Amino acid sequence: MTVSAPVAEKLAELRGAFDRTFAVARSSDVVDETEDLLFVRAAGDPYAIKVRQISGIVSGRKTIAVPSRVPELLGVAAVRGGFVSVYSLASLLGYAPASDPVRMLVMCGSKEPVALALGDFEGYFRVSSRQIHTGEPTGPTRGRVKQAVRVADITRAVVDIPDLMELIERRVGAHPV
Amino acid sequence: MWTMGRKIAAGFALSFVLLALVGVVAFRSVNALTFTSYKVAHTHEVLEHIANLVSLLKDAETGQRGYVITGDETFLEPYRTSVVGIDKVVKDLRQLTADNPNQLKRIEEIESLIAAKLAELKQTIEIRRKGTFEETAKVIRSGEGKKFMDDIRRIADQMDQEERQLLKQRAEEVEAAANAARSTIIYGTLACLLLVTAAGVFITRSLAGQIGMAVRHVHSSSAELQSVANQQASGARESATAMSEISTTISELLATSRQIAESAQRVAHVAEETSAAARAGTRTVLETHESVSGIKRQVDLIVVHMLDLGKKSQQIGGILEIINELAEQTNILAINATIESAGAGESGKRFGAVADEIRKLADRVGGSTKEIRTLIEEVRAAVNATVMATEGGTKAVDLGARQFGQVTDALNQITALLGTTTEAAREIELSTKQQSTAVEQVNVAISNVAKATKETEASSTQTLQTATQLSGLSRDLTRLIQSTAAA
Repeated sequence: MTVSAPVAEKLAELRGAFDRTFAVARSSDVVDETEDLLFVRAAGDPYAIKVRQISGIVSGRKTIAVPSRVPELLGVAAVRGGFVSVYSLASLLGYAPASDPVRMLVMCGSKEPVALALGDFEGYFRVSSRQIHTGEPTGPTRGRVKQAVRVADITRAVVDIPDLMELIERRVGAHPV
Repeated sequence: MWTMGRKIAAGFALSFVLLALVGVVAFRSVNALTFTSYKVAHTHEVLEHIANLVSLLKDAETGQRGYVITGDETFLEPYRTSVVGIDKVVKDLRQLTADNPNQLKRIEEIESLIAAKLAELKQTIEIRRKGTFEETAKVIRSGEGKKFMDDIRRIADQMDQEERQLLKQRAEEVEAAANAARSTIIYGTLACLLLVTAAGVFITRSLAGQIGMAVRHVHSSSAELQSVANQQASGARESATAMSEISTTISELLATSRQIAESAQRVAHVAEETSAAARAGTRTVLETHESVSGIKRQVDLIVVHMLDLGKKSQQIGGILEIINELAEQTNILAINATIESAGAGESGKRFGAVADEIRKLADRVGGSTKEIRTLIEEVRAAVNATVMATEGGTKAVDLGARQFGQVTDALNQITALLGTTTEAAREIELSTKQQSTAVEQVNVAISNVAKATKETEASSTQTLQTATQLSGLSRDLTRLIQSTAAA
């Protein structure tokens, strides 16, 4: 089977990039501070989540609904041999509940891990810290986000995960299961 | 309505009848008059005989008396003459009055009396001859002879009176017959004159009326005839002109018919060539139909291959979904590895670098799978479009095949129609040739008609002249009748 020229070029590019990673010596002094971000969408709006504030992401997990007086709680899901509570990121950000189908879960917290349900996952991006600006974005996320990043002409609110965790704890404390 | 001849004949017949009637009446009157005259003469003769008889008897008696008185035989001469004549007169009287029984009866009676008288006369004469006058006078004095004579006179008077009565009657008859004849002649003549005059007036008036009417009719008819002759002459001239134009047109028609015949011949030739071309076209269409059927089979095969290609692309899409899923999982694993390496401190940085590269590879694989998905979608759309186009092509090929069949049928029909056209063109050619011959004959006939029209024109002119003369004659006759009527 022969491979067409564009595909072969792309394959060669991928192979070269992968090989360069191991061929180039690792530099210890980082000239520029970077921030790894997950670009997601909540209720259709673009958001960014700092990778260092989460503990992992999973996909293809089925969320089982449980009765709760916390409206942001979608249910529980089996992740890494245990059950985690799944909260709707959109609801936590102030959107109407159950507006997005659950496509991926973002694991947060270390003592009591919880999962944030994402409607759409756009990718993993590493940006310069200088691209992240501090401010008060407008919209339903007011009070939940304090930073924003602009990539490819799209300004995204950077979700503050610790703040969301505190919010979840307050909601759970106010309405114990 | 009676004709003039009949009226004239009737007038003459009536006059003839009246004249004949008058003639017959006059003839009969003259005959009657003559006959009556004869009878009058006869009556006069009878009267004369009666008078003669009486006279003879008187003569006989006179002779007897003279002899008796004188004794002289010479005085017996009248006696003897009368005795001889009496018989003849009596005989004549008997004959003359043979048609009158009364007179015959009286003649019988008077004849016996005459015989007795003559016997008495003879006796007295004998007595005188033998005796004396006295002895004779004695016998005469007895009065027997006188009695006989008186009776004879009485009967003779009766006969005379009857004859005179007859004479008077016949005279009246003669007068009546003469009056009747006169009246008949006068009145008949007058009636005849009146009738003839009336018939003449009536016939004259009738003749004048009828002849006048006839003359007026003749005048009117001659005027109409004149007008008709004028029109006929004008029409004949127009007909001659029209005949000339028709002759020219027929000549053109003849030329056109020849052109049509030539055209029909060319049409037949072209139709034959067209028929051959149509047959060639039919063969070509059949071959094309075969080719189209082959194309249809190839197109069906292409459709099958394209559907197979669609299925394969669907399978590739499925595999690509798996690869994409693997890429996403790899990406997630790489992200998790990155997170884990960040938590592992300095030792995890190298692992983090590897995880980072794996994530990049997974991203790129994901990007590539998206591109491949796009390409596959495009391929599938192209396949669908190709299948749709192929199905459309198949339908078009089917339609083309059907149309080729229709074209074949149409070409066959065209071939058949061209055969008919060829025959028709030949028939047209033949008919046109016959038509040309007929047109030539018509042309000759038209020439004859033109000649006849010219002759008709001449005849019309002559008729016009005759009508004019007739009109003049009718005017003259009208004037003659009017002058006659006025006279």
